Amino acid sequence: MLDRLEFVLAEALEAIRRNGWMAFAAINTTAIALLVFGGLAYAYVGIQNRLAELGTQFTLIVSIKDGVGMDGIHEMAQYARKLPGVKRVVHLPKEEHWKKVLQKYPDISRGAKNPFPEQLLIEIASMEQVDAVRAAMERHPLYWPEKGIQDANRERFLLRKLTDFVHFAGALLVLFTFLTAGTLIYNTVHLAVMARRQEIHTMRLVGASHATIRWPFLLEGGIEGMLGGILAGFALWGITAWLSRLVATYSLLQIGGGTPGWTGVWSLAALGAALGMLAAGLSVRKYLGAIR
Amino acid sequence: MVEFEDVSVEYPGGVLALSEVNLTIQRGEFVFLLGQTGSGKSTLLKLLIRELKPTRGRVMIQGRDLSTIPEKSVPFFRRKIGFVPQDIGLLPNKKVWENLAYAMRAAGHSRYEVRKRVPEFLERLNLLHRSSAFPRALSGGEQQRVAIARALINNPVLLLADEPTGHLDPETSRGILAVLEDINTRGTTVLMATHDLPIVQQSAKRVIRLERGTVVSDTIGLPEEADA
Repeated sequence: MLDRLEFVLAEALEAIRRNGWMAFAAINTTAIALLVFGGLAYAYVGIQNRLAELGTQFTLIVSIKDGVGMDGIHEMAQYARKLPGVKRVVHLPKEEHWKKVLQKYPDISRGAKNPFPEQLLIEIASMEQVDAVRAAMERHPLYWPEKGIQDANRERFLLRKLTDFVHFAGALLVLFTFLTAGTLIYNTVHLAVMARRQEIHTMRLVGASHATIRWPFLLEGGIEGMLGGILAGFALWGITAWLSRLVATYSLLQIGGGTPGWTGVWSLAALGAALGMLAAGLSVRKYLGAIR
Repeated sequence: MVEFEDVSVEYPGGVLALSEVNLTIQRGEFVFLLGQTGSGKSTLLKLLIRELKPTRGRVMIQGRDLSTIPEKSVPFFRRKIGFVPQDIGLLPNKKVWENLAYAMRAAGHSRYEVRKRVPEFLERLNLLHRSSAFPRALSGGEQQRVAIARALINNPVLLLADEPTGHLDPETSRGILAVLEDINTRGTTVLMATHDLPIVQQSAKRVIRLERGTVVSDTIGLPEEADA
């Protein structure tokens, strides 16, 4: 079995070497297609993660003036509950918040004073009622304007729009680039089949089975696709690493969350190999049968 | 070993390549298939490697009707038949030993078997010193010998050679004939298509003569009318 695999693989590698520039073009086009796909998939996953972080409810987090006791907090919560559209009000103690930060960033926060205010998390029934609730809370005497109100609703709205874009425009772009890469691999294998008509005829004469002739072509497509995928994976890794540094430096909208790393490289390599083998399979099916 | 029963082959467009051919070749025979271009020699050989099916009649090897071999099984059948095509058909991007190795690997032999057998065959056909050469670097006679070695490498029961001396000078042609005769003396049945009269003359073997797709004579040695 291994002996057979080695034979077929050696034939495929030899074919790639002989195909030279066509193989090079196919690998690069596949890399571009998979980079576009990988980039969009990465953005999509990032947006979904951020949406998950933001939760599914419309919420406001309102800061309470420093030094207000539990009675004041309770009174402010009752005030919020009476506002139209408010579904639920939860007290977020500043000590709890600080405890989480200490656990997450022990090096940074060790020895520092708790900078967080007491907060109220207010869940609102619909997006249309958010502004009215926000204005009412800003008018409350215990509201702390310096610490403000965290309103993630607009960000979520924006992210949802972005998801829609990634879904529709991205799908079109991915389809187009995949078709281009697939067509190029298809043509590369087609040219290889045509250039080797005489050889294929001879192979048939010496008793090479259909599979023995077909598999090197399929592997040729698969290897070209895989190499394209690996290139795309490393390019995506580099680009996302650069973007992450940019996000960290300028505190931009965080929808990335790190780099896809080796998982991204192997995933794109596998996808590229599948795309390459599919395109090569279609080409071989159409042209190899014609050679007797 | 080989039987043709009322075999006719008609190509598209109504061209009759073979007409009601009947012949039998016994195991171990050396047979010349003699005829001019277009007489049906190549068609007859193509029937024997199942590249063609007869329009009418039956072609049998070792009692098996070749028309009944399923398409998928044709490659496995061909491994039992050694074929030297008219155009020699060496793989141009493979070295001499790789051409032989490919035929073995395609037939499912392991790398170990290839390493063992290829040098043996190259030596037998006096090609060992050319094993690392590409086909384009070989003379016509050497190319023919490589094609014969490749046809023999899987130990076929029948060797078919289509005009193996077609483009060779008389001396090289005699050398190729000697190689084929040697193979025959080792037990392989040989069927050689040719229009090379001097080659046929020098060998007192069975000669089947074809004209316009019909067997016109089947004799030991060259028939008188052809000799003339």
